[in-house]
Amino acid sequence: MIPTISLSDPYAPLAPSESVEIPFRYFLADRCLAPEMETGLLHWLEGPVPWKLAVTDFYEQFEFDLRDTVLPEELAVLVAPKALERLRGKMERALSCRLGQRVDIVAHRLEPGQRIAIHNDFRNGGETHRLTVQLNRGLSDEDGGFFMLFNSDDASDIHRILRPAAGSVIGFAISGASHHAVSRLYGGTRYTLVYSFHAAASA
Amino acid sequence: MPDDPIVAPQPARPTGLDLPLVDSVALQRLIEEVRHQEAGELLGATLYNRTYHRHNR
Repeated sequence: MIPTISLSDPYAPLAPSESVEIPFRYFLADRCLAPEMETGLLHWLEGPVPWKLAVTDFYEQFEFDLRDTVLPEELAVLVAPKALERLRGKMERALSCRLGQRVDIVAHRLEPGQRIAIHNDFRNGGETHRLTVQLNRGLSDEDGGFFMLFNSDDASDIHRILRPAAGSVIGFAISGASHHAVSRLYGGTRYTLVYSFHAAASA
Repeated sequence: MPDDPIVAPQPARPTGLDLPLVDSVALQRLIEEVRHQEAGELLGATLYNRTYHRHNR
């Protein structure tokens, strides 16, 4: 049973705790969602939602686009236009950018054995900014699934390795320099909610 | 609703989220886990972009 959630702004807790520009612009935050929203979301993701296994030559994970399902009433506020507008404003302030109205939301699920090799998400004409929210029941360092950031496209050129702490957030500007990866998961299940933003149309 | 305070960009500093890089063996394992199999190949933007398959259905 998903707990009752009565929040008009599910993204109210999001407040950057750290902002970094090199090797690419990103910020970290301890939380994005209210605890009851996080719990409800995790509960829903653990149920019968339309996961699809995606396998490419550099990653393997389960994923689905939130447009491909109907969210429970308790979670619908996550995709409410006003809520996404507020979230977009937070991203703009945190990353000093101007973003368009379109926001795509995709859920990712990593199971033991899966990983995502180094990549940068960059694609001409594609989304320009990303926000990822970690959701899990508690992962230890032995479980792996670390979010790795790099100074270059060389996997040994590590900038930083972040634990997938439940509720934690990284937001970043996508560019040819935004190299990142997720190390192999050894235990537990690692869920991530991934928000994609697009640049505002130029005047 | 008040705006969130702007956090000025600073050099990255370790927090509780950071994994300490003290064990070189463990670190090397992590590097190998995320290294491309096709080392040395020039990867195209499409291959790099793991959202491609979602957005181009």
